[in-house]
Amino acid sequence: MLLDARDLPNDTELTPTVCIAGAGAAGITLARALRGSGFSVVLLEAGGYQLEADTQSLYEGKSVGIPYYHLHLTRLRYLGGTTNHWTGWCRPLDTIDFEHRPGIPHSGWPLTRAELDPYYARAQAIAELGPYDYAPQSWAARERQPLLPLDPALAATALWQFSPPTRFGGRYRDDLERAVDIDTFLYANVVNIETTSNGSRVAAVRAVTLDKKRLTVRPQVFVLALGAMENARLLLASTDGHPGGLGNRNDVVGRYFLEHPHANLGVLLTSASPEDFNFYRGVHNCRAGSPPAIRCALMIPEERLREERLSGFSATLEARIESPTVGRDLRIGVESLMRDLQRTRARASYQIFGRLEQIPEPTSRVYLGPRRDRIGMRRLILDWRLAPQTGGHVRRSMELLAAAIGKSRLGRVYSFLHANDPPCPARWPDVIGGHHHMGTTRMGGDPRDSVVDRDLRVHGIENFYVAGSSVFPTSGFSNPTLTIIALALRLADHLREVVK
Amino acid sequence: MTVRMGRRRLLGVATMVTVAGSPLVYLLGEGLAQLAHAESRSRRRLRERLVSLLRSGDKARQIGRMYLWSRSPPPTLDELISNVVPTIDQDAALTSERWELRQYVRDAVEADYEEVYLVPIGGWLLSETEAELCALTVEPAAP
Repeated sequence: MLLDARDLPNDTELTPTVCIAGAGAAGITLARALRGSGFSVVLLEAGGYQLEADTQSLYEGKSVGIPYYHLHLTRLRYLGGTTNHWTGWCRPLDTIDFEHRPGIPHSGWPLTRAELDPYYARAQAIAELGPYDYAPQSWAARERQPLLPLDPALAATALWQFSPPTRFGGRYRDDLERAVDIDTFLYANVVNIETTSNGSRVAAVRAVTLDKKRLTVRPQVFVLALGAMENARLLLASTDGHPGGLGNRNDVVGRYFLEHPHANLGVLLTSASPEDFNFYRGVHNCRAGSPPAIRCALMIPEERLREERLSGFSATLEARIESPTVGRDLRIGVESLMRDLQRTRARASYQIFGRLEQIPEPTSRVYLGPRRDRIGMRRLILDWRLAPQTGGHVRRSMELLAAAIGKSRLGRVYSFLHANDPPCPARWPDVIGGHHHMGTTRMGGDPRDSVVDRDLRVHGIENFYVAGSSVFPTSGFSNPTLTIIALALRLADHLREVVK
Repeated sequence: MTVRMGRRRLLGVATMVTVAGSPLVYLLGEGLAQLAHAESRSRRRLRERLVSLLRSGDKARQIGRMYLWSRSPPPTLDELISNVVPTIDQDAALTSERWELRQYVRDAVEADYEEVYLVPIGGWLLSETEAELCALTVEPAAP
């Protein structure tokens, strides 16, 4: 049932089995997956059915690190959450992304890709994707498109499927409306989480409406699913009995903020025909009426990443550049080399756009600022930072990409990072984020450097869980939504097992 | 762990063997001057043959200059030639057909890419052999 918290009597108290804060991809998936479990579920959503300025303004904050989007524009606060403006890119994390990797500090998930695979398979349908198949070979065969003949030791093809994109609020609104065991309260802003006096259990969740009506939920189990920024914000703001914030005994909450750095990395000067690159350019809508759309990129293979201890790297080929200005001084010389030595002719240039994994970095963080919003919550400050070794990793990946292209006689690569020799992080090309917020309540076995355990339970609090990309210890280069959904499904299975 | 014996490493070993063996050449005495003269002539010829593979001399020189500028100290002419065509292959390279020499260099370039022996030249990531070949079009320091 969908309800408006503003219509409730003041100081209403609810006692469901499970309370979920946040009706985005994680919260809605979890609530739906708990249907038929015998649990009563309360789902708290801060917004309504559409964007409303006064509610959205509660997301305003400040960015003091790498230039970032306005914090109130990079996520959405109404039913469906940020899925209301996502573009639908879906890809599971790779096996290597779950591993502890020497060379990648703070890496390693307490679960494996194989453990998540069944949930990824189920997540496909929820995000309205095609079969759980991300092998470029099978899609190339299906689409009768050639794959580039890349040396598999140097580079490989990565494939994304596209969700329509599923707007979770609109797509699953009827489900929520009809569900007899889910009560979804709109306009309920969660402002505090209270624990029992010994701090071992969540006792109450306090929410308010913008017109100051108060709602208290006393659930058996509480799940925080507000997105990676708000999850940290609420934990840090919940200080009753927990001076540094709830779950923050070791000062981990809010730290390790991850994004997917995106940057224009260089230019591919190619001798291949546009047809050869067709599969790598733009979105392929596949056969009419046969979803999903797909897109390919170049990536560094997992084995190479392990061998060279590199972070994940992918690059899409963007706009065809008719007369590139970058590297122009030497371009004719480079074209001559291709012609004279490899008997190939430069035909086109494409922009190489990196979609990168960020190395976890504790100083990259969100924290509470001094200013407050209209419901009294301290606003967030984002200090997005990249680890110092990032530039070196990306440079090396560009070299591997250039090697793969050169070896296969496909052309030559111009790299902005190498044009700036000697290496200097300040001369990075402009880095932007992908609106992917991750890592602020990371998952791990050790409470000293993580917030939740492998079951997504907050360390030391028996009935408190966190869902969403805030639990990712590392991010790979894949977009986060499919993994968010898969983890929510896995959490639902766990709750069905442990909650009586 | 796989141990790869790349072309560069092979070349290094060959150079070490050559260097280690060179005192013996000195002991040979009388024919030394003539031999050196002949060697220098054949190196010059080999350099000309290699440079002739590049049709655009000016553009290659531009790349070559930037390559030499980026090396400290810059390689000598002999080093450049030996890097592009290892000593052991030089006699054959002098008498080979032009297409064979081009094929030889092409293989070397592609081996560089396979082994990721790349050098950034003004932002372009080129094979080291390509850069060295371009550098042969410049007059580097004498050995």
